[in-house]
Amino acid sequence: MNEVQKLFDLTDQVAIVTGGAGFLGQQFSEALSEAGAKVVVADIDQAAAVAYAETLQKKNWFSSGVKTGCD
Amino acid sequence: MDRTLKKFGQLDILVNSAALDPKFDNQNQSQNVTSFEEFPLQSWKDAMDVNLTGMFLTCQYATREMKKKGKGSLINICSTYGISGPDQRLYESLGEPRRYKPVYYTVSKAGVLGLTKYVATYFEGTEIRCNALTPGGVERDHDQAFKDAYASRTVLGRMAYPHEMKGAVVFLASEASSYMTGTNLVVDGGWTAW
Repeated sequence: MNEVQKLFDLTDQVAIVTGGAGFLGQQFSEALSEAGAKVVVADIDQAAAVAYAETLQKKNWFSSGVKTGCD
Repeated sequence: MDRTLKKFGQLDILVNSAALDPKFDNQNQSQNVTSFEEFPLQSWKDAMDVNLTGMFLTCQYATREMKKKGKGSLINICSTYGISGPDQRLYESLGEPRRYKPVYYTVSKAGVLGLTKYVATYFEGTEIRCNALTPGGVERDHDQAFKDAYASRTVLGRMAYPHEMKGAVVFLASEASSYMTGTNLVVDGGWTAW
């Protein structure tokens, strides 16, 4: 990895994406995953969040789906 | 938030992408045919709860954790309609009742920029950065007439492809943007340049 690639690298970073199973949220979740982050897909639609996190996991990215809330 | 910390032990990046943005389909028609003069107070309040209060709370929780390391990146999703008013002409269809982009959308998205600047400046002297990301219209299941009308308002002459937001979010999340805070990255095909 060269210096510029390192600047964009998110390996070992943890991210939360709210609305993460939504139309744009999926793009954000996937992009951060591709850059190396562990992504928590948080969405008011829990089933959609879990399903999308599983899609990311199938690509060997570390992801987890949760229901949005401030608990 | 707690579950994230329990599972991963840290939080470095928050992307606030949750928002109410009703599409112009039949299910939402009651909301979308509502003119400004008759816009229901409850719809306004519900949207403010999700689009602004929700974002305030997630920023609050996330920065509590980021403060421990003095570092983190918060990315709040705005909209071109948070920068300029909606072009309501785009939502007109011949022979159909007049439809409007709801008032709360512009107001809450404009508020996102205020929250972003507040959070950014509040954490002065740290590496906790907060920026907004403003996508333009992204192509999905819109009808062709809408796509064409939207495209004609952009400099690039088209709506965005979904993947065109990926570079911007990784840029803001990563060290590539380490000297950026309190600002707004606009990815709108030139919509707001005209």
